[in-house]
Amino acid sequence: MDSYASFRESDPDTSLESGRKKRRKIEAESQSSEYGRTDVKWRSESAQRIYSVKLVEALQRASQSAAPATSRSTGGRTVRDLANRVLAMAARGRTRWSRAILASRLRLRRLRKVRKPSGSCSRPRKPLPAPSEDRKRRLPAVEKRVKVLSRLVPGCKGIPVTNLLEEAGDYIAALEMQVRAMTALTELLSGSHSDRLGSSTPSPA
Amino acid sequence: MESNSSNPIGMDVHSNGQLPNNCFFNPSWENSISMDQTDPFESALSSIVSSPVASTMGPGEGDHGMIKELIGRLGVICNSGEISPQSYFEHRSSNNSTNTSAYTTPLNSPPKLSLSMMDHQIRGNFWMPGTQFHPHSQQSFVPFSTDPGFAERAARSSCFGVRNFAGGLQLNGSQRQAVTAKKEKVLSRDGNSGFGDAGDSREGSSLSEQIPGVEMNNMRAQNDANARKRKSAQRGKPKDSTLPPKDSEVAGENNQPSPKKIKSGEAAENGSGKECDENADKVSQGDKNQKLGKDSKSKQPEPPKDYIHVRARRGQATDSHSLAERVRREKISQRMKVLQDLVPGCNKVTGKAVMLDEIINYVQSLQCQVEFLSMKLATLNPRMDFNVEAFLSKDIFQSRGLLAHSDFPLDSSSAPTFHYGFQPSHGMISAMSEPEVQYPENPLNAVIHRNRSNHLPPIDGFPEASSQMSAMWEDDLQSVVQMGIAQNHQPLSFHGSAEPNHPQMKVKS
Repeated sequence: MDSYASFRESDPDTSLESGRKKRRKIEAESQSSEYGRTDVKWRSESAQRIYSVKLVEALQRASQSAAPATSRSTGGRTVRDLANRVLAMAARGRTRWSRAILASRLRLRRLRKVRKPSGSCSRPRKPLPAPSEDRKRRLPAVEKRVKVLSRLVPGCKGIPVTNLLEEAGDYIAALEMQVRAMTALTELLSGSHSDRLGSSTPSPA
Repeated sequence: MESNSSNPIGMDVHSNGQLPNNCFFNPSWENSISMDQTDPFESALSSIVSSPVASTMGPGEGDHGMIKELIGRLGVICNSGEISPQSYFEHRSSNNSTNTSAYTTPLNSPPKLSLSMMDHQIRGNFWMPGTQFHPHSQQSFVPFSTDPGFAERAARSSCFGVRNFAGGLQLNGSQRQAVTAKKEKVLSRDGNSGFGDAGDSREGSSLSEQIPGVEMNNMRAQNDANARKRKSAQRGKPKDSTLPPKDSEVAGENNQPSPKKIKSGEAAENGSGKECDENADKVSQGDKNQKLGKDSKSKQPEPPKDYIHVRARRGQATDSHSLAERVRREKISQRMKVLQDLVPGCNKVTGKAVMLDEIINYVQSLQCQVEFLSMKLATLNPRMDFNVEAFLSKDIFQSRGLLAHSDFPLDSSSAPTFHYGFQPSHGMISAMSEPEVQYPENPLNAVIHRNRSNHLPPIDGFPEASSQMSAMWEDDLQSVVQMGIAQNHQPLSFHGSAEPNHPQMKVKS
């Protein structure tokens, strides 16, 4: 993790931010020392950068492949799926959700008819187990939430709770990085656009 | 001379009846084995032969010491066995008396090569407890893997042979039993561990089933050992009731041969536990188990230790099921802790249900953010041709963690320039911004409203503002988004002052 700090400090523009971010990074590292190595991986600057670059490339490819005027390439859902796929690629297939995302795309391609949402979809809920079970059973409340969580995280339908929690942790970290990268990207694009538009008067704060 | 001793040999030969079997007990075993691609054995043999097979092992050896001690005894037994290989081979179903007599004669002969062979096998086997990892054990079993069939046959033959020897020999009663038990376990595991845990246990059980004549102790011990193996692997087996902890008293106690056998078997099996990934350092705990053996020994009817070497605390249930459940619960709680660190706002929450609620909400909010951002990107896409790479190279590096945890102090160096490039001319964006926001706690709200129709200065890489703007544009997600983002932008000095305040904006709908 020291490499990240040094890398950040190398940026001249962000000296102040780098100090701040280094503190944050160290804090994050201390938090995720033993087990949360996955989210440390997702929090790294290089990961975000790589993801952003890949996302931009993919977006450009998508916009170029289809006609610029069509909404297909610029559809919101398309972009979201594309972003998820790039995120899954960034995960290198080590996690279940990333493999599920990529696999669902393949399935979609083959079928071409069935539209499988990558996120959660409304499946009929199973009836809750009767609370009058043996005490050793997990509480239905917890179980209910575990099921909901398993629906949220792609590809985690019938896995044990332990693995589900692990996947959820990695998924959350990846999602955070994704939001960070996409936000920066949109900001870039909008910033460029506003620059292009030119007459941007700084409003009094 | 004893029926039990005779039968196993016959059974054994029947079961295998192959040359390598007998070669195992052949004095020229080395040669025959070399035929049978046991060259790796030879190389290991030399090392093993050099190593002293003495009972005075280092304290750190633990199991190894015990096993090697038994190996020494075993060598004697094997030697007794190898004296009459031909007779063993020829008189398959009969003439066991000669075998036994032949076995008894060389009781005092020094360990021969077969001893070192078995030594190696056993040693290879017991490298597993040392390594405590099944994959490592696999590595140590490379020589076995070269010829699993041979290993299987050797194990079977040795198992039966040992039993027979034990029956034939007039060793010290318990010692003999312990030795045979250990041996049979070891060797059964020898053959078994080459094939995986579940398969091993079944094979071991089949082994035991083939010897109905063996004295009940051994068979039961074997079954128990295998049962334990299966149980530990599958967690469903009815456990053996007499399973005291470590085998510190293997050599000492003569009054409980079967528990000791089980102990040794368990000690041997522990290395090949399926879930050995949990505790790599539990060998020391195993030693501790030895010292506290009295505790669990007092609670006789239970196996105190799981494969993962979970310590059964005093006063707690030491049932294997509860042990396994406890391990599972600990794993779950450990991961929940990690999630607690990931999800902001979970520190104050206690209880799995509420924390899971938070986690679910957070994941949903993140996914919605991604969706929203993707929509935005879709609208901005046409403009990606404009110097995207240039901006990427410059500004991506500046974009820091927006949704990092809530604790980082944002001293907004570029405080007044948080405004995102909000262009009402963009049809979509303005439309999106229309249902704007009842963000009562958002200090930027007023500014955003005010600046909605203005050209805001572009942010030079100020991600917090952008994300905040994006947060604002989702009226129906304001609560969850705010929970996720706003907390991270608490110190955003909307009014230009660099105040690192952290207003706890925990708006949860």
